[in-house]
Amino acid sequence: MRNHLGILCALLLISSCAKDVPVPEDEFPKGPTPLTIQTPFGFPQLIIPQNNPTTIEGVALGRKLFYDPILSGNNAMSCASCHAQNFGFTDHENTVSTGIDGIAGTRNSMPLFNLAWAPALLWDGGAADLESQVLAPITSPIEMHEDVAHALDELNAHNEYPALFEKAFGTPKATSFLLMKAIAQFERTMISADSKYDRYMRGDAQFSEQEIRGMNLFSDMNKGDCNHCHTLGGLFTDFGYRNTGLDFEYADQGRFLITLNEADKGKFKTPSLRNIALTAPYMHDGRFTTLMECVQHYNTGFVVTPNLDPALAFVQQGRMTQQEMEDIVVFLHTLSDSSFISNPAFSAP
Amino acid sequence: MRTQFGISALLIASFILNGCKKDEQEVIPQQEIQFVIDHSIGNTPVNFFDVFQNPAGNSYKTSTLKYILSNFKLVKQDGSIVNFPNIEVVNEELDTTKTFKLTNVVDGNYAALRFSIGVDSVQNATLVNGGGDLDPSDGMVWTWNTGYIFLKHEGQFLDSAGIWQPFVYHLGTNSGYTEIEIPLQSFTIEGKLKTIRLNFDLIKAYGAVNTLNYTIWQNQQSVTTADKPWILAIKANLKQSFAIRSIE
Repeated sequence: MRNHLGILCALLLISSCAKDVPVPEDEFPKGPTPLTIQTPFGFPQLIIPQNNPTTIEGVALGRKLFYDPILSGNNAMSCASCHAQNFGFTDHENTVSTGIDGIAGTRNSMPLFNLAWAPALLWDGGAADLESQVLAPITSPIEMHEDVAHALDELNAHNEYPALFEKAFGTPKATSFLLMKAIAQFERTMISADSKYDRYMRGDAQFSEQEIRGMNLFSDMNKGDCNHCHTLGGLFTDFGYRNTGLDFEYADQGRFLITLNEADKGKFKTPSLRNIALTAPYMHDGRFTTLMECVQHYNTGFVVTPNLDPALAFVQQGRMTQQEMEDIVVFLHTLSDSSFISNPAFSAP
Repeated sequence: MRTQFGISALLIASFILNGCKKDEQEVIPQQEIQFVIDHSIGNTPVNFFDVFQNPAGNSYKTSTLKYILSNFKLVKQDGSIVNFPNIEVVNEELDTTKTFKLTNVVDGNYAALRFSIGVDSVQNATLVNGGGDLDPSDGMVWTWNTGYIFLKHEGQFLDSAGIWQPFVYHLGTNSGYTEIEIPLQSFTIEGKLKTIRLNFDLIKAYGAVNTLNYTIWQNQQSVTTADKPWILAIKANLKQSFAIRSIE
């Protein structure tokens, strides 16, 4: 009895001084629902940044924003305008994209998938993370040409968005940070890992003899040597920045624009080769129309510049036959992921 | 049995008292320092409609003067440092941004005030973790080359042909991060709110150490190789551009 009295006293005392005692669980407001993104077979472990956990409501908001022209200066262009799902989220085979003011850019629209693994975004790696990248096309005067503060005003005055921000982040007010986080969450879910190549690796599909030859040539250091940078399996990129001997004079100085390091002149990010047959044209400036032109470039087309990537500096020009190049192109077609480009989870809501 | 109860009650009570101690600590005097910033050109307050001369002899008018201050520190007489989490975006056009407070300043004798123009490399590595006043919607960011614009001074100047030309100065990148130290004389915090009136003098920003000529450096945005010497030059000046007018 006395012991009970002691405990009771203690309880009373505790409750008297503890202002921050959590309310019972059922009184908690219902927060967004955590969404676990599975790391696909053969991929590196996926790491979600702690400051932006993926949630069902956050992804849904990000998806709506991705497809909403409200984020452009004239409310006529959305992210999806230049990143179309059918084309592996690139710009409809356009060499470069044209913004809301009719001004053409200088670089080919980058494909959007498996970005959750990318250490930096954009052709020159100028955007440090997926969240920070979100604002680049929105604010670019030659792209969506919108003032972020103005876009936020529009979102906050909208009849649907405040409720969606509330569901996703517990506050109805759209801020730049929440805008960035929502779109980045959606983009992290855009995973392409179900190409014929993936099914072949899982034992669910057969490769033709030519596809097998192409795959072997892809990795053969004396032939394609594609594997050196477009790491076979998983992401098909090492996310490095390389000068691939496209030009002697650089119309676009690439990575140098970010680092101001002479050695980075004419370097661009190694793009993934997944869905490559869907994302023509090729290279940072969209100069090549076909995959064969790309393979030919690496066989005989590249020029020796001071910054030429070592992997190319040591390969022999003309090391591949026409047949071998064709085999590689056939293999590259096995990287197309039809379930990704038709996945309704990534289409316009 | 009784003693056991007595002991356990005492133990419980002491635990509880410990648990409540936080409240007691808050009674220890912790003051606020209010900063009031003014922008001048020598002894004259900055006015966007007036024409001034920089030390290089350029006549100019200002249209934007906006910058980020962070990493405030007070250095005690004994050398120990008190840090403050404030990140302030100061905009000449908005009076509310020119007044801000450091809170939880403990009593003591202080020997120096430190703060920085811009944000440090950790904060500058992403746009999504903004603390304090940081908000990418207020225009103090580069979106295609992730980072904050630490200082913006824009306006027009008269070129040698007598034509008004724009000048654009955007200081940023990790090499543009500018740490400033202002020595304090017998500055004691003792139970009262202090107001520090801090002056930022554009004459010094353009001539304290290096004379910056808008004709030579007209459009400096910190992002090209050509900006590197400019960053070093203006950084040296900015270190000398802030002064305490008064501590009240």
